[in-house]
Amino acid sequence: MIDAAAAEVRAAAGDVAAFGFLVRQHQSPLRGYLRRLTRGNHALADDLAQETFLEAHRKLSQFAGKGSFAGWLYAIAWSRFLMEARKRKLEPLDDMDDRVAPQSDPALKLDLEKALALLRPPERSALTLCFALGMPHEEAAEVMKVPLGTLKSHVARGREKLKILLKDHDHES
Amino acid sequence: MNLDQHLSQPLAPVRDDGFSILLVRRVRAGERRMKAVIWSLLALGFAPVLLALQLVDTGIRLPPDMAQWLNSQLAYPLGMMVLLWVWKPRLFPR
Repeated sequence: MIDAAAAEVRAAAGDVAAFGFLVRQHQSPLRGYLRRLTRGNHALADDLAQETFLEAHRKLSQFAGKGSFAGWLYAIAWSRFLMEARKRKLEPLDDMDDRVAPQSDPALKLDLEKALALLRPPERSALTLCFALGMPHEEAAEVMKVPLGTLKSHVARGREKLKILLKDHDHES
Repeated sequence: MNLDQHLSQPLAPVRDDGFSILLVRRVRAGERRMKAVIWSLLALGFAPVLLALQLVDTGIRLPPDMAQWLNSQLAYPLGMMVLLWVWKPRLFPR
């Protein structure tokens, strides 16, 4: 049994078994993160996860222990997702998305996953990184390659939208 | 439970179901392909040298001028290409 830090060093030196250990350790949260980003498209999320790990394997020598390995991995996954979203025109990435307005349908009953799926990808990513994955804001900003202020505004806007979306749901439950 | 507590719930665990094994297999296959390419290029690069030195009796006898030309025009650039390919991550880090 090897620990994660030793596995990172050994994998960077070309040890495929150590890389396999890292994959096993990180596959579940990474695939969960990508599933959330792709709004539950499991096949696409798994393809992206596979590409993320393969890219990580190619670039392992460049990682060199700067920051956390998980953060570095999520940064690759986020950029892979953005590339794929642009290629497939999955959903608007940069423009303002006003689907979630204060006057949204009052009959809307949504659980958290469905509500998150209605947010813009940067908001979805920021909330997932900071809350579900427990990353500090600084690290999440590095993952998403945005300034800290932008990350915080993604989190704040995402939370506001979720509050509106889940308000009716909370009343029901 | 308030919103922040909802959001802080860990992501639903995703079962491995062979994901890691397939990925490691792909990595190993990629490495094998890379080695095959490198060895093929090395062999190509050294073939003219062997012919010129006549260490391998292939029945092909190259005139010395031709052998020297092949050596300088083919073997050297191919050898350099192989070295660059192998050292690419160190020479050109992203």
